[in-house]
Amino acid sequence: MKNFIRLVCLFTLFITMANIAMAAERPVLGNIQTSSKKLTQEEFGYKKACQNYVPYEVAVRNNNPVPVVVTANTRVEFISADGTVTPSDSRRQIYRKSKRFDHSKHIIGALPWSVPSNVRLARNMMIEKPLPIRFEPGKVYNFRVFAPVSVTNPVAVNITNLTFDRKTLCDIKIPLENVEEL
Amino acid sequence: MKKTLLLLSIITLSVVTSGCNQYFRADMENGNGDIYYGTFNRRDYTQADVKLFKRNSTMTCDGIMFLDNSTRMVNWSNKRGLAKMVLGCSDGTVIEADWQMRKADYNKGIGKGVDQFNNIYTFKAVPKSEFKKNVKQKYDFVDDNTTDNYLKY
Repeated sequence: MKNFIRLVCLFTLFITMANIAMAAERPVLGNIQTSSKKLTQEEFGYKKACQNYVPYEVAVRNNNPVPVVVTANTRVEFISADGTVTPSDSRRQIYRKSKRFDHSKHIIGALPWSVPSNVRLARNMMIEKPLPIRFEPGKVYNFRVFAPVSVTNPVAVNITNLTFDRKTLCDIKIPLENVEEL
Repeated sequence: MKKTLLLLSIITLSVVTSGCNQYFRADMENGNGDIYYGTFNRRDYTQADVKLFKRNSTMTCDGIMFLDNSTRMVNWSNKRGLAKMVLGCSDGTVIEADWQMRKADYNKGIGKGVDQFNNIYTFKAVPKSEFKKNVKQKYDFVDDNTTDNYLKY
């Protein structure tokens, strides 16, 4: 019985270590030029959004000869100075935490002007500069990411699970500090 | 009188709490010419959750849609609303689509989309009966607090 328990423990340990090793194997894609800019509340213009998130405008140029594409499992992660990795909120949550109180959802016969500000917010945060689904070679892509305010001193943002051959997964790491414009 | 009032309140409640689901069909223009059926559930006047099913397959997609035009403006009657939809599918495909909504509403409209492998999709609104005929599986929209995936939600 003891031997059996030892065997199970060893097997579990092996699986855990293998998982960690596989997670660490995902390479960071080279030949990528990036730049980033932190947007202040005056530049971004939405007070409630800035209370919950720190907006960054990011530019990426793919200098590889092949296009790099996102997958449905692509995530945006923020890396702090101490190495902590914090996943970004979903686009849905970012919008919900940043929007104004919507009368139309709670009161029948809502005021007609209660919604346009949320439309402008959605346009600014989600429609105008979204994460591109395809990075063509040589082209510069600008998009916005929103770091939760709970992330202290973010130094980089990771776009994970990208692929260029439909098999290999890789990441793009974009530094958020001391960067020059593309 | 009491019964009438009760009936009226039940009808009002059911109308208020019922979802505003609308249905659409997507055709892949190149590739295998696959056909998809989808539905969106309006969460407020700006945002809707989207679910898409591939016909004769278990593949499903989840996503979100943002309307770029207010439905409650005073002069909304003849406007065409634009909307942006992004879907993440169970096989890894990500579809990005631009919709043109008639009268800035979700129930009439056409759309054109592309996935990350450059397959082109066309979207058009269809009646509920056509959706029900082709999609037999049960489904549910995402919970409000879901943080599962960046591109899906």
